[in-house]
Amino acid sequence: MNLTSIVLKNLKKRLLSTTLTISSITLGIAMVVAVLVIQQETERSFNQTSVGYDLLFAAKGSQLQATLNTLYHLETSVGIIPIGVYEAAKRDPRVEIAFPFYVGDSYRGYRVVGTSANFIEKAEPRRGQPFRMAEGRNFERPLEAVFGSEVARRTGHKIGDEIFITHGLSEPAPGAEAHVHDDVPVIIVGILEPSGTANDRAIFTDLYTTHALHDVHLHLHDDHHDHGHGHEHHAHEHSHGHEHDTQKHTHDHGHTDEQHSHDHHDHGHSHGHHEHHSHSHGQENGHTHDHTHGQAASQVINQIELKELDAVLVRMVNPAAAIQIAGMINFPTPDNPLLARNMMRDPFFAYKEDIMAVVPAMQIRNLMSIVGNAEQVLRLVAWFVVIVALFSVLIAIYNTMEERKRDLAVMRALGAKRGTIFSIIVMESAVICAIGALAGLLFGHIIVANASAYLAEMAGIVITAFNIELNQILLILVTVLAGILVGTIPALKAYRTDAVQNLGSGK
Amino acid sequence: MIRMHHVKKGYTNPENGSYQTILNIDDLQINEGTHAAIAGPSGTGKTTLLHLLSGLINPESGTITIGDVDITKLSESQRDRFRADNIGYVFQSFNLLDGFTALENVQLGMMFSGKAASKSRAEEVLAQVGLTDRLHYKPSQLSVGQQQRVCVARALVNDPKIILADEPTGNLDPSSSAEVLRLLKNAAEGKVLLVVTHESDVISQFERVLDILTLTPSPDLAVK
Ligand SMILES: Nc1ncnc2c1ncn2[C@@H]1O[C@H](COP(=O)(O)OP(=O)(O)OP(=O)(O)O)[C@@H](O)[C@H]1O
Ligand SMILES: [Mg+2]
Repeated sequence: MNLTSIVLKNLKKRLLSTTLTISSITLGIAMVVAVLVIQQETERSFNQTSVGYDLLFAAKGSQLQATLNTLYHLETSVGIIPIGVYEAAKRDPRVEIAFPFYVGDSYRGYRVVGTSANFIEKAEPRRGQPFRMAEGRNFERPLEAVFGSEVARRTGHKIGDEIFITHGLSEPAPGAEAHVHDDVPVIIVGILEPSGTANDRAIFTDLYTTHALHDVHLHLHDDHHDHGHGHEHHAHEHSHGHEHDTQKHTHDHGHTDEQHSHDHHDHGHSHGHHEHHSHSHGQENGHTHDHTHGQAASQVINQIELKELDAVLVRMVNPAAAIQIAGMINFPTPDNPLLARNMMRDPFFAYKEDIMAVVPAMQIRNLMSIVGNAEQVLRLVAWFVVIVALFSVLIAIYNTMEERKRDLAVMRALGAKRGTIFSIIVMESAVICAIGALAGLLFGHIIVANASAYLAEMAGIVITAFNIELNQILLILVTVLAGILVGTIPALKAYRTDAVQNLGSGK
Repeated sequence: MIRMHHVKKGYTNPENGSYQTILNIDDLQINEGTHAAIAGPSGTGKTTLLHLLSGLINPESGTITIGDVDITKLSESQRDRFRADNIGYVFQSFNLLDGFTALENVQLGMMFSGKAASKSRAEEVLAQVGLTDRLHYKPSQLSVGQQQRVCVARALVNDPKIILADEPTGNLDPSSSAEVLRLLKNAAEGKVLLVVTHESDVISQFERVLDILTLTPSPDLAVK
């Protein structure tokens, strides 16, 4: 037997009070931990995703919305921009790498992001951590898709599965008719490893595919599909009344390199045969998925004209140039005529009426400072709960002092020093706080685990629960320290208890 | 072994605030191996004397030397430790801790001394008082006589040089009373045993009796 076992025995003797005070500490710490982890992970998730890029070109509108839409697959697109912006970025020697985005469709509520194959190869969803394939390969041609880890997990789809993408971002209300492009089957060719970012909840495909989904006139004919999979190919009588559609197709900045690059797909078809079925090729290729898909892919390339994007994300060779380009595009009124002449020569200047330039990291910083205020209120409330809980510990222990006077006096008479009595009481408070804090840590992470599903759904933020970090360990130590501090008040009372006067008279 | 010299102890009367001397011992010596009864009417300072000897309280003046240590010169925490190491105390009321078993109550007697609170030693003394089959009983589950035997075991567990017992048989029937007294006397072989009592049966068991009122010891106690 030692002091600790005396302490534990004392706590066990008053099980109800002990349980209640531990619970109150648990509640407070759980709140603090939950707020802390969610805030920290949200900020980290947002920041890490935004730091890898210097500029974002999007249609004029909310800069924050453009950032959220492009990097976090949230909100809706601010509008479309000519694909020439992407072409200009690719040619520009100041640009290290550029990624195009064409969005607005979804599959079972997961967003389909049209981009270039090198987005998967070169982009870093988290700083220093590129995408990694868990299975399969990157998309290489139209109608191929790569699934984010979460999408694959939730939908249960495997590589080789064919899906039909819905036009628009959300699942239709029950009863309402979904606008499913059942004439544009997309095959899953790869599944990404989890990145802990919104990308885990996205489906990536190439620009042709997303353009095809927006194209009223596209018609794919595929006999093999008809037989093999029972897909009826449809006539194009569905009306495309979506506002998205009307929003798109408004700008037409003509043809670009991208468009002409069809040529090396060597199918030799001419463009614009929207009403005709391309029966003439591919039939001999057999009945494999790959071949039928290859066939459909070439049809898409032949029929689709790439002309617009939602955004272009750019990493500069020299990040300082980003500020200059952003200034030129967003505020194209220099006082200096020399500067003005330089501007005219800038390839992006031609698009100044169509686009805005956004520094994503700055948008996220601003957002975080706003979110930070709300988070601060929550944190204050959580700490308030902890403080109230500490008071409850104080009062609970203090209230036992009267009935425990005799026990303490007996220990004194058996040779316990006042200091020993003092530490026994302090330890009781510390143990309550330690157990409460540890349980709170666990409970807080359980809250985080539950909230993470919701956050992933709402904000595309992937939070890992049960990732216990130094600051949480410190939080526990601080709580125990506070417990010690709070314990000194009843402990002082115990310290002052007179041994002789409290040894029962027995008469 | 024990010498009290010019020891004065009194209390302020809470009713009128006047100082009231309870004990005024000119010189009292108790040799090693002495077993003595302390007798006297209620409220005359018998318990106070034991408290002084155990260092729980300090006198207003005088010296109390135990062995070669003047305990009145020690600090309070030094006296606490001295008590833990050298004094076995059986209280007037039992003063067992409710939440602890017999075994744990006895172990508590070792907790504050230099020795480790050995379980086997606690079991050994409980066996000595005949409670081997009651080790894990709480005080409320023990008879009054058994409770007092636990108290005796607790007082003996450190193998103290001095055993002080304050009316150890006050609440017991005659046979339990005789048993407890026998246990104390056996355990205190060669040590100092002072037993406060009102009972003539108990007094008669001791050859040496100290009358607290007159502080006139029986002939064998060395008093000057
Ligand atoms: N803290 C105190 N303040 C004032 N008076 C006290 C205090 N403690 C003891 N006394 C007084 O000292 C006297 C001696 O008390 P003590 O307990 O030593 O008596 P006792 O001889 O053991 O009596 P009993 O046989 O009834 O146990 C009593 O008159 C008591 O009122
Ligand atoms: Mg008494």
